[in-house]
Amino acid sequence: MNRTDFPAIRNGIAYFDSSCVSLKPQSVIDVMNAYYTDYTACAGRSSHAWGEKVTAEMERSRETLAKFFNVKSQSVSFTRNTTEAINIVAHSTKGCVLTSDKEHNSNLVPWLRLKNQKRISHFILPTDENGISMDTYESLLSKQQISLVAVHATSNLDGMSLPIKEMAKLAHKHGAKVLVDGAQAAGHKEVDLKSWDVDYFACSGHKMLGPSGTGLLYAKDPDSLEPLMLGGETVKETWLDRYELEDAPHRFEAGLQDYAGILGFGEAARYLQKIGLSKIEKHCGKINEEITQLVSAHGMRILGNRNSEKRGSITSVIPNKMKIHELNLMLSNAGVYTRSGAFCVHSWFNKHNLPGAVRFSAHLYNDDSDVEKARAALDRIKGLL
Amino acid sequence: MICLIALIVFAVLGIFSAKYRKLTAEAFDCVFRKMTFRKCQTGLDTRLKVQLSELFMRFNPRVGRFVFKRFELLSWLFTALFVWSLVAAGIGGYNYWMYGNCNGPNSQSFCIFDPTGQNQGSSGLDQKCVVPELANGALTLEGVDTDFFITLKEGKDEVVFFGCYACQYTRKAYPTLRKFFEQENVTVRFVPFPTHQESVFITPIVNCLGQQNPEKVMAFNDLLFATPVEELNNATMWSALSTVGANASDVMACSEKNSTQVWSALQREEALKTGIYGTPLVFVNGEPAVGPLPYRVYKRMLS
Ligand SMILES: Cc1ncc(COP(=O)(O)O)c(C=O)c1O
Repeated sequence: MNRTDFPAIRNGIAYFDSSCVSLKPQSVIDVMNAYYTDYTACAGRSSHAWGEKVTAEMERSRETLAKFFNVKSQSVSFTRNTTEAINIVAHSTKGCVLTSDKEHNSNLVPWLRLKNQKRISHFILPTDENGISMDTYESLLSKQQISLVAVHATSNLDGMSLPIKEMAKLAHKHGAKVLVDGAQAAGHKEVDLKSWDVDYFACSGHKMLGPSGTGLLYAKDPDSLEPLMLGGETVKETWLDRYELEDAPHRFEAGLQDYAGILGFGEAARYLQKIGLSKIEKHCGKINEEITQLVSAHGMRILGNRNSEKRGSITSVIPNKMKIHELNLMLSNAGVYTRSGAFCVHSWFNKHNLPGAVRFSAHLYNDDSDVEKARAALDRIKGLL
Repeated sequence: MICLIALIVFAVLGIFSAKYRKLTAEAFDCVFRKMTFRKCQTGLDTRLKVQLSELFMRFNPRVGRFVFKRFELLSWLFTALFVWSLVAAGIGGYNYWMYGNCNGPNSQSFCIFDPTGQNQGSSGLDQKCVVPELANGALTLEGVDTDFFITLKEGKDEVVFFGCYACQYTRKAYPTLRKFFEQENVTVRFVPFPTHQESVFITPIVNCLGQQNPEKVMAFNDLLFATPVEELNNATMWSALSTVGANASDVMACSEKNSTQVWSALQREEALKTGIYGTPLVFVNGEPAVGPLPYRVYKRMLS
């Protein structure tokens, strides 16, 4: 699907590492290049034509992304990535935090640190190949007086998604707020934050066809959060003994921003919207089904549910004989780029005493030729797997 | 295991290229496990295993798969071979220094440090041999009557030199040996041992000179070894004997006597008791050395 828009794979590489970082369409690259070649300037402070253009384009990106997630633009702050967005929320969190047992380190380590500093209590919601038990979830919410539920929308480990809308409803019923790590959901399926009714949402531009080092934080009530970093752009006024904070969303955007990245991020959202998220979800699901069939035929163990429909665009496998890094390298040498390791979910692998896995993660640019390449690569090492 | 080989190979390549210096550091980490291994990192050993197996797979998939499956075993084998060859090279180097030959004393086998075989050459087993039946003997002076040998010089250490005037290797060794005889405090006994037909006639002559004027034999030898082989004839003998101040007609007359012929034959028999199979053969304090060897090797054998 639209494969030719992505210059990186013109050489025929079968890129299956989009969960780590997605490829960028030419239009995103063009927008970034235009910033550097035509109007390199600061936003929000320089009153010359270039400065005004950057300011306008940056706000256009914000509006595009707000619309993309169906929220107001004042509630969207730009960050460098999902990790930074989660850390901003963590910085203002007290009480009891509930995470799942399958969180990316970005949504685990900040809470572990707060727990070690005795600023929060941390509870864990177990998951299995069928997802979570809503009963267990509700009982944890009520028994542990959870004040914040911080969970992934889609797991980067096995591609499984949590029922965020239902979870948010229950959390609110029990007086808890909800932070969603949307790194793997954004750009892969329709994410309607208004309908999900979550309090905070974090995602990365680089996983949704945008430039590397871009992300955003959505906060339903930005005043509930303290900025993590202060400095230029985060204040309206300063005196030698005090300062007055800027309004959201700028108060969370300290220092000079990655303007080219932000503009590219906006373009990525426009690009995705133009194609249509439901179409993308369907396409990735089809590719994922083919990959599932392929790895199953080779007898490899799949993490999460066996049904590919439950795993979005991700298939993580553990070969029976070969080591994960060996398989990854073999595939890489055949021009099939996957990722091996623990995908920053070490805690889950440690809990299950597993060495890691090899992950195939697809996006809209993958097609049957990629699957065929993977098939040929695996057939070649049949018997060693 | 593969990391150990990689460490050594990359260390050598690293001398020439910065790229390999980085790999050397990685191999070092891999060998000594300094690196706290992370789940998401692909170690050098894995990379090497995959790359090597793939290399074989390209050439033959079954071989590639075999290499992959048995990689651990193969790398152990290669490491063992590698260590063995390192040790062998070390021993070879030691031998070369000690005996002028990588394969131990008096070996005729190929030596990488001496590719042209200069140090090992000795004539005796080729077609020109006077005694083709000569075999590899355990070279020794034990039980050999040195009274049959010509004493050229008296000193502390005992040197016995078996040489053939027409043998190219004796000729090659001679300048070094000559220097050795002169500079070191040694007793030198000389045995003419013709391995080439052209020099057989000289044996009774030099034996007679040895009986009459042993102190003149060294100078006589100097002249003969400096004379081209094709010029070794009666006339040259006459002139050499005269040059060294011997009574040439007496010596030549003696050399034709039956008793001299018998004596020379006995001398050869005595020489054969050493197990000699070629010339030059030198014993220094009873330790044998065959072929033209570096000075240091002869010197090392001194007490
Ligand atoms: C589920 C999930 N959360 C968070 C992150 C962290 O994203 P980033 O590195 O962009 O901050 C990732 C990245 O892989 C992820 O997959």
